[in-house]
Amino acid sequence: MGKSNADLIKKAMADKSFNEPGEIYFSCSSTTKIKAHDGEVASFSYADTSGLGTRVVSGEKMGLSYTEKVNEESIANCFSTARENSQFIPDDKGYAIYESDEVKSYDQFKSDDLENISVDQKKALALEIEKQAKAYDKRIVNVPEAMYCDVSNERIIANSYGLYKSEKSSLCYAYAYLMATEGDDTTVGFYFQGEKNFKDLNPEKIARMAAQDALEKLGAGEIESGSYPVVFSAFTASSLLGAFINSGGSPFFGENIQKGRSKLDGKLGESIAASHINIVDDPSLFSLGTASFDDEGVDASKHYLVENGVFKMEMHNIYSGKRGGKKTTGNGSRGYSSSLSTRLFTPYLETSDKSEDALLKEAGKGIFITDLEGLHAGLDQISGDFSVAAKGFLIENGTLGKAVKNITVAGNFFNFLQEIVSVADNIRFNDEAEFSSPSLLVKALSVSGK
Amino acid sequence: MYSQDFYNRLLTMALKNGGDYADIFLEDTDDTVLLFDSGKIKSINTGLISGAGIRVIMGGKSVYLYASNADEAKLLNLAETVSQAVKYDKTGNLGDLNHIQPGITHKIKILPSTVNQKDKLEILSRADRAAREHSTLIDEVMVRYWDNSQNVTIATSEGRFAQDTRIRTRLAVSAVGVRGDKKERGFFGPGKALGFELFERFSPESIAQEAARMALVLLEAAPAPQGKMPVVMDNAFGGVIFHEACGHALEATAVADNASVFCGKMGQQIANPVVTAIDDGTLPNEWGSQSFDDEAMETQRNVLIEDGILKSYMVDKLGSMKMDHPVTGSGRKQSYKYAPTSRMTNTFIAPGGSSLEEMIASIDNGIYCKNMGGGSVNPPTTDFNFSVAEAYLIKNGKIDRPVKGASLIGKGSDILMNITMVGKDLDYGTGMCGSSSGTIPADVGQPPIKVTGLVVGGQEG
Repeated sequence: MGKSNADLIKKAMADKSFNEPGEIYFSCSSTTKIKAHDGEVASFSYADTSGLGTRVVSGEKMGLSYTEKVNEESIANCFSTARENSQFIPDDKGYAIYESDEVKSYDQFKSDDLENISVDQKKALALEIEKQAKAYDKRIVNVPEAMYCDVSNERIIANSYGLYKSEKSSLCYAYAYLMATEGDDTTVGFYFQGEKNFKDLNPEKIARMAAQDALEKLGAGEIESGSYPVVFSAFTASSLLGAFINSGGSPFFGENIQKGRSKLDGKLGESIAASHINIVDDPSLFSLGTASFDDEGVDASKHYLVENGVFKMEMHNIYSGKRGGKKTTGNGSRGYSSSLSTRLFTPYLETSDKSEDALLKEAGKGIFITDLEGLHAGLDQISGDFSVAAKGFLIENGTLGKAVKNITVAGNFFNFLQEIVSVADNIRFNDEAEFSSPSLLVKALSVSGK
Repeated sequence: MYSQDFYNRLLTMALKNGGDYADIFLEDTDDTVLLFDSGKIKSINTGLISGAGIRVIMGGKSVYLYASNADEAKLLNLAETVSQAVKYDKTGNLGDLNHIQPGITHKIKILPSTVNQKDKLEILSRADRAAREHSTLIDEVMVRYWDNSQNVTIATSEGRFAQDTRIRTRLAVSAVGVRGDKKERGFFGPGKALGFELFERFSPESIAQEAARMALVLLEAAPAPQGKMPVVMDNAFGGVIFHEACGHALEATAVADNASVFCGKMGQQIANPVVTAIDDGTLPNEWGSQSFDDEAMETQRNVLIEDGILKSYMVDKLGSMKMDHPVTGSGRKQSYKYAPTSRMTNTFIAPGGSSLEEMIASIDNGIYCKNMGGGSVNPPTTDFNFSVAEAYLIKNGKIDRPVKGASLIGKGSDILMNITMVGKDLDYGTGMCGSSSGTIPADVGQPPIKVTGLVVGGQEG
């Protein structure tokens, strides 16, 4: 299948009936999803999907069009529609296609073993997660979702300057979402693991971590509202920071800065975080978001966004780079059906050598947050304000006390960066989050409870 | 377009190794997204979403295979492959396919495909202009226009054969207000199951002015308070509270797997007697309305809760086979890339007898929420959260100054009992709802309501 798609795309670029710069973004994926429930495979799905998007830059105008019916005729139609669409766009000097004639294929993020794993082995893994979770403790009464998924993907970017880059990648992930019950109290637990190789998925660990997550929350109580020192677990710190740093409205993205949507406007070279904070994007590290080149065909590379607390670098695609008189940083993001935006690959907060326990000791008292909900709605990237539902534990005398529920944690991202007192040593790069962070201690946040 | 014989052949193939039920879903969807920011059109993107899926259900388990660009050969291959994934000793009856005409259609006056790009783009620049003219404090405006025409063909082994076209149009405006080092965003984005006539109901100017108004209010707002307090939630998008606190936990997706707090509660009181809640996919041209669900069942008006008593769950085909409950026309999905599951359509609390003024007057110290953002819920516990987009303090029975940056949390099973007053003026708000079968258009709605015992999570102090 790969070869015929490649031929189709090369032919379409050669046959293109106009002289303006044009680009094809193609991707095809095979996806397997398996859900186990009550000792059986409750649902199985398999898919082969593909789509192709065209982009045409005509003078200082840009047009897009896409199709999921990929054939010679539809690609030609797509190009002509993109060209028509471009005619309605006012001139903008930012529009451009990557001027490169590089031809290269990549497979460094392709799984070593997924191709040789049978469907039965995948089913067995999902079933094992449920079985282990239920065996872990009799209070684990139900595992509504013991899931296994894998995706194999091929992505091709080709343009009229002669660029042709393709990448084959694959990954797998599994998670457990389960319920613990004791008396009238029900809690839910969750654990997610994503890997390049199937052999690294650990159903026992997924089951155990999800079960512990649910069991720890049983018997949780409410607390008084107030301002508390807060330690975020690595998982919750990753989610919270990722929602600000690596999503469409990120204040670090050049286009948001140029268009009045970022409070970091004019702050380049200034201190925006505590002096021990380093925020890095390193595409060479495996994560669920990494790739060898960005969605405009530019090689992905390692950058410091924040170094020793100083805002070092805005992230650009070709469009925002040109508008700002800068080069792209190789962070263009799009799919075949979406317009250009910006993204990071494997962004993370650098660790220290402190353990999570050391952070709890340093806090002395406060709250340890292990669960955040509502991040997709409870924050605003422009103002930096956030207020999200949380669960966790009291910290008393530097150790964990009783479980806490029904609270919200509220603050402001820009103050938060300044008020990170310590970071720990425990980072995971394969979380579901768009960002990886160790656990961290923040001076004080508003906690709402009783 | 294939013959009914061909669909019969696919269904027969899909069930050749057994299965209680099979269905086929084919889709060709035209989609247009227009973006406007920094005072000009930024991009025009038009495309075709096209593919198909074949599903077999056996003994409460399902197998779903799907592919893009599903031509005849691919469909035959899908049917063959799906059958190989099934080993089951029973085969459901294959009924002769019967082309079902919809009882309710949502008439479209101006199909998006008949409107030229220039006229669509004019809508965006009108919105941009209106937001900027609203106040000099409006510094940046982003406008997103979306129209979507989904053409589906669904055939089931029970003999149901339906074709449906779902047209939806939406205009969303974000306006950013700036004063000193404060930057705040207002948002308004109504959509309906309408074509270009959407703008006869909502002028682009009125949408933009509402977003700009909200940004200006937020520039004036102080941090929201903390703690448990009574809350008045205004109509329309306020209905997100019911959607999160209760709606998801009434979906068969959760109920059939014993993962909902409302399992086994049919006929019992689960809400305050002032609460009647309805999911209605038949409302003419509403955002979540369509003639058929994605399993070729006609959508219907489902009374979920009547005077506080649980009357119905929302149930898809797989759910109905797993639990003793008829289907309710609730099988929905984003596209062929998902198997359908039970989902909401237009979900709302029915009008009651109180007025907004009475509710406000009954509170010494609380919050009046005029506009909400999105939220989420864990159905097993009904622990829910949602964000507040525009809110005011209530002091001594009167609306006081604006506050910002709060989320509201609670436990749905408790909070339903705490809805103590329900107002008269029902309205709907446009939402996109994400769950296991993708992100789908769903209306939330309610008249104003008063709720006690919610935790308000602000940054004050």
